[in-house]
Amino acid sequence: MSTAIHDIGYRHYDGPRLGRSHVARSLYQYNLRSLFGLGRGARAKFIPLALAAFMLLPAAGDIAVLSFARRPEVLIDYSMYAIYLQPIIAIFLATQAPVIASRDLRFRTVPLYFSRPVETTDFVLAKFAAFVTALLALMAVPVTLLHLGFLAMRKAMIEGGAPDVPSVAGQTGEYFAALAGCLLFALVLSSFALLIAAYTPRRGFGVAAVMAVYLISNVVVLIVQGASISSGNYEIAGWAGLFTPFTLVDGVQVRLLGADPGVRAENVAPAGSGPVFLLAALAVVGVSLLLLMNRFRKAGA
Amino acid sequence: MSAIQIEDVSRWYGNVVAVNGVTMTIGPGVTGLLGPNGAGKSTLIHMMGGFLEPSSGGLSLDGEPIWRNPSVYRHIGLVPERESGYDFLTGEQFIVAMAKLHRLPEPGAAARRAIGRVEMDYAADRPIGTYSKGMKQRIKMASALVHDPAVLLLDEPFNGMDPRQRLQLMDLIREMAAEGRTILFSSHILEEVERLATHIEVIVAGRHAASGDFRQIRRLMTDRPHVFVLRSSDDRALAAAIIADGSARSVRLTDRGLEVETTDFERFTRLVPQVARKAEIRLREVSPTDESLESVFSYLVGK
Repeated sequence: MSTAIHDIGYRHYDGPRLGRSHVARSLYQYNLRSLFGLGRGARAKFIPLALAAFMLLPAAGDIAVLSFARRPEVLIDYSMYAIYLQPIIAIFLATQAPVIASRDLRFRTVPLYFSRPVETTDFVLAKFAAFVTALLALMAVPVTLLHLGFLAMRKAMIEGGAPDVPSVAGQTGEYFAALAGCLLFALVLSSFALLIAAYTPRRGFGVAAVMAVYLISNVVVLIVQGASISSGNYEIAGWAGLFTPFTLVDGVQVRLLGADPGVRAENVAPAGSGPVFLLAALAVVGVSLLLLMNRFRKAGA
Repeated sequence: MSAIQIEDVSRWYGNVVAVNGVTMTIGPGVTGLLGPNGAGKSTLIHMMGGFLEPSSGGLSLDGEPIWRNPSVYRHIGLVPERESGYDFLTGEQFIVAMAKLHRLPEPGAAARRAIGRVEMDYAADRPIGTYSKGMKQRIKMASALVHDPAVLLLDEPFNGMDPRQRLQLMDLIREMAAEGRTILFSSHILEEVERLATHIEVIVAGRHAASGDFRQIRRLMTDRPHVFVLRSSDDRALAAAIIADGSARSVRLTDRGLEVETTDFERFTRLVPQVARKAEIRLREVSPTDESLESVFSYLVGK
């Protein structure tokens, strides 16, 4: 057998490169596409697209009812939309987080990435950003639909003599506050779900683990809240909300983003707790990202 | 005598290219597949074993395509890197099961033969879960040998072995190569490759960087000057003579002798004795300092 050195493998390429931003962008794009099963078979598309459709359904229905009833109280509170539909969001988290967080670990392709010009930070942030984008789209699109429906129906409601029709400015303010809430939901839920999925690389386990953490934290918090409410201790019930992802973000919505506590149950975050809830939410995101980086850095070595 | 032909093979996972346009032939004897972590060694081995479809290009064994061609698998044995096995089976049960999967006429006898080959008879009745790393490696080896394949693919076979097990396995590999089998093993540990394989294939970040004998590969790297250390009866005079001759790029006087950098290995090795003789200097030592596999590898991999 002959001896050879192959120029293309031995001599290093010194020409212009597309660069780090291009790497990050392609990873982001690839992850976002795989979250919705794009570029994969029909089976990979079914769950995410069906869930996206389910997310839109109540908003569409609400607009339809609004167009008949012509009364503003029919309109779903924007900031409550994600909370009403949290089972669907939780299923999306559980089924899709493993798609981008577990596969590379399961098939041991992580070292392949890191032996090329890809940095751990970019690799993890691209996954995170893609998941945040997907979740944000999942929640913000129906809320936007609601708001558009309101804007379209407002004149008809006033002409129909409905009382207390909100002003365009007021309702648009609520809309933007709800979008900020959606973003915070997306940040917290993504980081938490990706982290769990990254530590359960076996097929199926990631789905179960994300679901279990979500359900168990909900049940535990509900028990604590139930007990403290029945003994009249509303303050503690509100603080307990810190320990499930949805009520954690909702505390920020109510106490910092001006969402209406009136439409929520008694266990809403106590007055003045806003900054604590926000800090806790940001801490969840920060710590999860650090642990994720650590996880992938180790897997890539 | 069998050979695996790899023809312009690429494989990508999502958006990472694991193996990038590789063409090589693995013939009889021991070939070392060398590359740093994440170079694509395992991906390449899995494609050679028929476990993974190439994204483009083709692999064949003696002209027969490997992908989705079960008749070829009778001639290939693969020892994967992963250890997850059937921990509840005993070594013998596992090998017999493999023999039955190959539909061998006498699975029991074939299994005993394979187990004997890797010297695991003494532990054949114990569950695999109780084995040490080296024993697991050997039982995996037996599972790959049970159908007496002409081609043996070993993915990181020395991982986790103690020195004695390492030597045993090296002997076994040499023995099987002497029988005319085609053996490919991957490693990122240079010492193992150096001791076992004269022919190496180097891949770096999915690209085929070099193939052949590593000393010859080193000669081909004409852009990397060779460094020799010379000791003689009169280093200063020798330095002057070498510089005057012009076959060296630089000469340095150090306390371990004369360090000479040359770009033309052949010319320099021919000229040194002549120059020394003309100047009447006695040469005590001439040794190339960067001819080890390690330096060759670092030149290939280095960025």
